[in-house]
Amino acid sequence: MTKLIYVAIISAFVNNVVLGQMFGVNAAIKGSEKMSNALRLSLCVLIVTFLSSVITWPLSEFVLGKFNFEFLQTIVFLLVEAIIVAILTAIVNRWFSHRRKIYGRILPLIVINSAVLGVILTNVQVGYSFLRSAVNSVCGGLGFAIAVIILAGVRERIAFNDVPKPFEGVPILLVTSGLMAIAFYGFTGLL
Amino acid sequence: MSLSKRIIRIVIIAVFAFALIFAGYFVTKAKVEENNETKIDAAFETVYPDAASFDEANYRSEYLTRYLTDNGYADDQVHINKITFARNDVRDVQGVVVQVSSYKKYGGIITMLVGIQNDGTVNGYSILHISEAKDLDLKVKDAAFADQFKGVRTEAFTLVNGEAKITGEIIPANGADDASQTVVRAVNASILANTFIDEYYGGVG
Amino acid sequence: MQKKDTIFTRLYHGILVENPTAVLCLGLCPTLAVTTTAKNGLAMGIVTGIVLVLSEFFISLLKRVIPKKDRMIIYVLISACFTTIIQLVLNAYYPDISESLGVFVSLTAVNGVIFGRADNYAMQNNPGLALFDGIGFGIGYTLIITILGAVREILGIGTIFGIRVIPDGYTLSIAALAPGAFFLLACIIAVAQKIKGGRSA
Repeated sequence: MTKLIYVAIISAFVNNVVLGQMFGVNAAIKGSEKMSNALRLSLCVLIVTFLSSVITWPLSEFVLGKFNFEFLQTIVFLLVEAIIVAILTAIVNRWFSHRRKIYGRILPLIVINSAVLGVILTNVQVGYSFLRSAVNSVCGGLGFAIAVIILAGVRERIAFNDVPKPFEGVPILLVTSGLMAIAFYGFTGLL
Repeated sequence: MSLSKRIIRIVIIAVFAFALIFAGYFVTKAKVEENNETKIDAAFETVYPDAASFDEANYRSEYLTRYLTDNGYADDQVHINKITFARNDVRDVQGVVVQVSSYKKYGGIITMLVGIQNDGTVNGYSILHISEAKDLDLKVKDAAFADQFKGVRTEAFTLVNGEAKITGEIIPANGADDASQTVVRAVNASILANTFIDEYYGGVG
Repeated sequence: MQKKDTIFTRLYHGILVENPTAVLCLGLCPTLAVTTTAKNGLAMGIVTGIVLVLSEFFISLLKRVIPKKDRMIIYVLISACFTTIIQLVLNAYYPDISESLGVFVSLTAVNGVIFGRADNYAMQNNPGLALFDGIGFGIGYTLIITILGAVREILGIGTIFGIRVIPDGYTLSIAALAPGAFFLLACIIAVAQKIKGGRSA
């Protein structure tokens, strides 16, 4: 149990998906424009990462691994993600139709979010057990959420500041992420 | 356009994509296998240059796992994949080559070969694979770090900062503490595996 | 205002006017992650460039049979297909590069540059022009990722393409770590915005 908490802290903080491993930086920058959007994006990433890792782990262990077809991982995992996203879109359209417009914009982009693909590929390539990869993907999703939400919060503040003209837009967000990355290194001391 | 028509188009393109990938796979397959063989041969040569032949040791892996766990090396931190005897030209066992995988603290795995003589002297190691390698991690492949293990006989190596004073102390590769620790753990587990094999075969080989 | 598109304008736009990294800010993940050395940056740029050219060409070729609603999944399939083939080739002939780029070779399949160009260019234009659009943007991407790799290698490790220029012990190790990547890329984009702002003013 302590082992899993340890894994959780590592993947959510010390080796944060966005700030440490640098997966899904574009999605984080784009998604942090508004706090409400950041929350929705994080939720989608979390759900899709978890569901796809639960499906792709056995798929890679018992099907691809058995025939030594590891090279198919990328395309097969992307198809799994796409199917999950299609199902989630159908669920939103059916039961949450008042939200369909908002999620209709977010969900299709999850397929090409490198945070999701990065986490599920790492899980199988490093050779984690099923439980550990499930924990790792939930915490990877949480790590993404933490980064995006903090970034969205900081962005609200930046809006009231005078940023040097050339640094307006993406550069100042990258500088912010860099500072956050330094701060997150501090979590190394926890372990 | 109807749903079934859309799905059919996607499936057709998917079939073409998979066909292309498989074509690429069969073209490169032979070369990849050849690469792997030369890589493993080279690794054996590095860790046991004076051995004439190698053959795989048979042992109950669950016993070894328990032995390692009892000595403080849990299976989710380090795992012995394979043990190979190194024999000289009159087929006497000189020592073992251990294939070991060790997990990095912040995610990632290092798989390597460690050559150990019968008396426990470490010949050195050769890394077969590092996953999630940041470039600094690759410093553990450098001779400056790897040579610290060569020809040393100890029960367990430890990492120290600054200066190595007593036998078995290793200075971590600059900026790659995590990877250094992973390598030290792998070498230590291999030393234990050597002792285990020695006891298992009753020191005969 | 719309001028005639030629091979030359495609290259010019891709490399300078609409540089995918410095101006459009697409595909930042590999740019940040693998640029610890100039060699890695160059290799990643070339891999992305090849996948981009092939994907744009085939998407443009197939543009009439791609249903608008499902274009995303088709793009993903096409780019994943070429990414996997490039990965197999790297494994066979350049195993060192494949190892040091790690999972980021696979992540080329979801690189934003590919989807941006597929949607905004390849779907509206003929395959010949799409091919050169891919080449232009591929070179533009490679250029910036190599520059970032070179700067980080000089500052962080003290070498350039493996040749030592700064003595060991005088390096700025943060440049080799994640925060350094963020800061230096921010500077590169800021320089590009400064140049762009100066010209349009």
